Amino acid sequence: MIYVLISKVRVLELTKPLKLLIEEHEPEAKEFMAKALASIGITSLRPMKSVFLHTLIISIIDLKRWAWHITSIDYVMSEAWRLISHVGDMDEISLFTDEDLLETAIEDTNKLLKLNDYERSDLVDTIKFFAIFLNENEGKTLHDFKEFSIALRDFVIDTLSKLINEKAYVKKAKYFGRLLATKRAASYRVAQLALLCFPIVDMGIADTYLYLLAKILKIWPNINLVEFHCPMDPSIIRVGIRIGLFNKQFKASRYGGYRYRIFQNIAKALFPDDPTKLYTLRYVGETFCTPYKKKCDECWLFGICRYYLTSIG
Amino acid sequence: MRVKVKESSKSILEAIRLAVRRLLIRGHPYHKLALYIIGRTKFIPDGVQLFIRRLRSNTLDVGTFTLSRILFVLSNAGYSEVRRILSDMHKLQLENGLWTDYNVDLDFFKLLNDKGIALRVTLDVLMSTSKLDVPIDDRLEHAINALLRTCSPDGTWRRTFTRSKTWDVEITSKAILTLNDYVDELIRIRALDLISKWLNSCIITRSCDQPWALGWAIRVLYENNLLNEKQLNEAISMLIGLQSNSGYWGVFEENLELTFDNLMNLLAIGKYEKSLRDEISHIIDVKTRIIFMINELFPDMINYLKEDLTNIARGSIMHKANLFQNAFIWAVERSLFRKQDPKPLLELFSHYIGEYKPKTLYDHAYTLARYVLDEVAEISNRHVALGWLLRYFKLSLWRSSPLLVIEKAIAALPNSNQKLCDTYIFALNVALNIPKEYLHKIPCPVDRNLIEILRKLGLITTPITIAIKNYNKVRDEVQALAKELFPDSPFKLYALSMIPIRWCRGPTPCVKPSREGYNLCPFHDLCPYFKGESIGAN
Repeated sequence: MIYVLISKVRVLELTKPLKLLIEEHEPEAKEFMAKALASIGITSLRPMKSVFLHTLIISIIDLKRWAWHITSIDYVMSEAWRLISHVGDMDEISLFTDEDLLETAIEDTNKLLKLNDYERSDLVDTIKFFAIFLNENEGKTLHDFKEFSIALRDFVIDTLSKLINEKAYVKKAKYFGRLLATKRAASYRVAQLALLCFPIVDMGIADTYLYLLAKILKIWPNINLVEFHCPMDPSIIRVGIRIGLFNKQFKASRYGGYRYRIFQNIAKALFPDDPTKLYTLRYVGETFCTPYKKKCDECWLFGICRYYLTSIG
Repeated sequence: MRVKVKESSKSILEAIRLAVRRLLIRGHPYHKLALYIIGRTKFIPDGVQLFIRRLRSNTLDVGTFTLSRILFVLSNAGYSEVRRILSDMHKLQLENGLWTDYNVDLDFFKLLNDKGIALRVTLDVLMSTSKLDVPIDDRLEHAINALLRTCSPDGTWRRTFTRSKTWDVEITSKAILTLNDYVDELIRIRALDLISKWLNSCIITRSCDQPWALGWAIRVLYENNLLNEKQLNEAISMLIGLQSNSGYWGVFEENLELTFDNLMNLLAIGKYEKSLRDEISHIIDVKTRIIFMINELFPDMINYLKEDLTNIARGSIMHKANLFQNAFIWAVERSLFRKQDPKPLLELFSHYIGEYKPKTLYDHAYTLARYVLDEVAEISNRHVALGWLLRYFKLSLWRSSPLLVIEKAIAALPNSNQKLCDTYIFALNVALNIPKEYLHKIPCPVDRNLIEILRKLGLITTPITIAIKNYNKVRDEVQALAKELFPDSPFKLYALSMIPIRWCRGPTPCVKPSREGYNLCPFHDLCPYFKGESIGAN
């Protein structure tokens, strides 16, 4: 499958050094993300419910940053902080079930203010519904990934299916159907589909959210990451194209799309035990390999980077 | 002296004919009412009468945009009762003098910003008032001033699109047509010059950046004598080229409002009233005959189907077959593709009947939904239907709309299809006594026989090549027709499927010899496929 979009020779050339480099620099990348989250006070030391809700808000803003004209991860964090802090005490989850408070908080942000009516109501609804879910569930349920996914599934099927408005449901009906058709035992898939049922959540947001909770904040200790999907972030695609892992037509894809599956297959082929390791490329994309100001000399991928090799040639 | 459109041009007549048919079949009740009035006929089917009653009693629960369209469409036909809408529109007028709607989900309106929508809605209202000869009062003057304030110095209206700063040809053309007396002469000349240049560039390049504006641009230039014969004919042929094979105009999807506008623009340019009336009267003849014949055919069909259901019950291998199961078997036999194996579906349903033993309609709706959600969901590949079923079940809709829940539950069965849902609900109606309040919700099953006769009579405009790929397109057309003719019981139209079975097949199609002489198909004089002339049966 991998070889459909990229040359077989290039993948074989890349596989070994890329694996080694990523494994070597993964702690650095994790620290980078953890620091970014900690900059607005989201660490594993916070109350569980607070971490769960605010990580979702960050994941949403992070994955929509290109569409919403938020340029870097620092701006993502500051925008999220503006929203969260204007609602009130970030550990008081019940405040986030108040639509009016959320609406006024959006008015105090820089970029979210410019969202159109549909996006704004989807964002408000998602935060509100997720806060309702967290209010309904005790801390114990959230400590175990399996229990979390089952609790989220039950909430989505029993409550969210009634709460969500008709217009949003038209887009989400297929995910509710898929969720029903999925066996409870497949925890990651269940959690992913349950998240997709929330109005504004798409595949990238669901994957990023679960990645941040499991790997960066380490909410669920001793979790098996084999099932996890690597979030398909535009920064990873950019770096992947530059180093020659993907071809130039490769773009972020919708859920279940052909390219999404290829991306996941590549991640699994490189790191069968933990496909999310490929997310380390996001760190490269945020620090050295930005769209306009490239710092190739500082980048640890320069030795295998096709872009660097051709540019110096 | 105005230039004339080529008289020999058959394509314009064909375009008008197709558009009229499309509007009289798929159109909203106000489109149909307008065309019936234009056709000078007294025929008004029950579905349209229902709309008129709602219009008179002010119970139309529609937004500003739809209200403005009703006003515009009916004022074009000279329907004076529409004046009462004007008083409603006054209540909806904004402080700045414009009207707007934030919930317009239609075709190219996705490209417009709030200003673009507001200007269009306001122009529709002003155009209708001029058609109805309503004197300009303060409110209307306020609206006119608001429109003129938004005009650019070059005589155009711009910044109405979300992603483009180009000037809006449609609004400019409509405004010049409507506000002729209010616009400054210099501005008017500039605007007409720009519209003329735009149309010429469209004709030369054979492409159009605002295809929805073409009809209005041609009309405004034609009415101001700014087109020569060649330009006019080329522009009209371009407009006709944009029409779909099914008869509608639309950019991203079918747009009935644009279809009506373009039809009116074509009628304003040439003298086609006679052919328009001929087409309308032909369709009215067909519809009148259908309404008349259904009363005769429907009881026959019900007896025929009841016999069928009884035969299924007798021949059933399943033990303790009941009404629901017979209806399902009957529906499956008529709905699945030839290559599809009906066994898995029948086994699932049989398992459900054995386990839940439903007795009433409500019981059936509740238990079937539970069975599908609890036991079938994991093997189903119909995820969208499953999602909707979940919502309806959680909202306890099985109490208030059991048929809707049953429909979604059947649709959520593995390898199910829309035809199976429609046919099963119809079969339930034949087998059970469904309460009267739900009869208007029973859809008309659309099968091969019904499609055959409706297509012969010209009541299906979707070409076969498209219909084969998308069953729902033909289904929507038939449902719209059924709801217009029989709003209280749309499924009655299915009785028409008896016609092809009785008349269109066999060694003597259209004619059946009998001891007294011969019988002719009741639709023979309206059917272009009549084959009786060869034996002198005409």
